[in-house]
Amino acid sequence: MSLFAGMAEAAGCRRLEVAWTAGTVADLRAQLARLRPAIAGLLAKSTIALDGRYAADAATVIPPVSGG
Amino acid sequence: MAHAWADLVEGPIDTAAVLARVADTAAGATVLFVGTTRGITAGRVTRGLEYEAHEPLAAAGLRELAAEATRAFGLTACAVVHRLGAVPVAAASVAIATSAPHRHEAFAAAEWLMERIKREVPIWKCEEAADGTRTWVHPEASPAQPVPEPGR
Repeated sequence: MSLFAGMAEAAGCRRLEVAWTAGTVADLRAQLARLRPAIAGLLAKSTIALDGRYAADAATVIPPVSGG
Repeated sequence: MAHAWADLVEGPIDTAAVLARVADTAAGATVLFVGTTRGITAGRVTRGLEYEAHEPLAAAGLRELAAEATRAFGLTACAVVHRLGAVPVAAASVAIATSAPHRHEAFAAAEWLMERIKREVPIWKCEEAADGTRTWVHPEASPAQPVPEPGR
C-alpha cells in the first residue's frame, strides 16, 4: 500500500503492508484505519487506487489533491 | 494536426520550450499560463513549496486532460508541465500552453485545464512557513485551506 503527502506524514511511513486478498475496498479502508488510527480522518476523504491504469501490484491512497 | 503533450519535471520549467511546443501555422492565438509559488497565502509568509505526485497516475492524468482540452476546445496544440520537488517562491510550478485558430478557445482551454488539474491530478503541495512549519495541503480535509478566489 503506497501513501503520499499528508497521508504518509500522518502514518509515519510511505508504505504499509496490509493482508487484503479478498473483500471490498471498504474492508481495506477499515483495516488501514485500524492499523494507523492517525490517518483515519484523511483516509475518509481519500480515493483508493488499485492496479489498473498503471503497472503496479499494490493499492495506493490518493488524498485530496493540491497541485498547481 | 492537433497535438497534446504533458510532462512532470524535477527542475525549473523552461516556459519558452513549453510555448515552442504549441507553435503551429494553423494557430492565430497562443496562450501561456504560468502558475508561480506565492510568497504569502492567507496572510502567512511561505518560504517555499514542495510538490509530490503519484507519478504514473499524475503523468497519465495530465496527458489525458491535455488531449481532452485539445479535442473539446478545438485547439491546434496543447502542452502542460508540472514541476515536482522543492519550488522556491516566485518560481513556476506549472505551465500550460494552448494554441488555437482564435484567442477565445486558447484562453478558455488554459483556464479549464488549470481547474481540472487542481481538482483531479494526484499532485500534492507542502507549504513551508517562515518558521519552518511544513503543512501538506489536502483541500477538503484541511480547515486551514484558504478561501478560493472569486469565480474559482
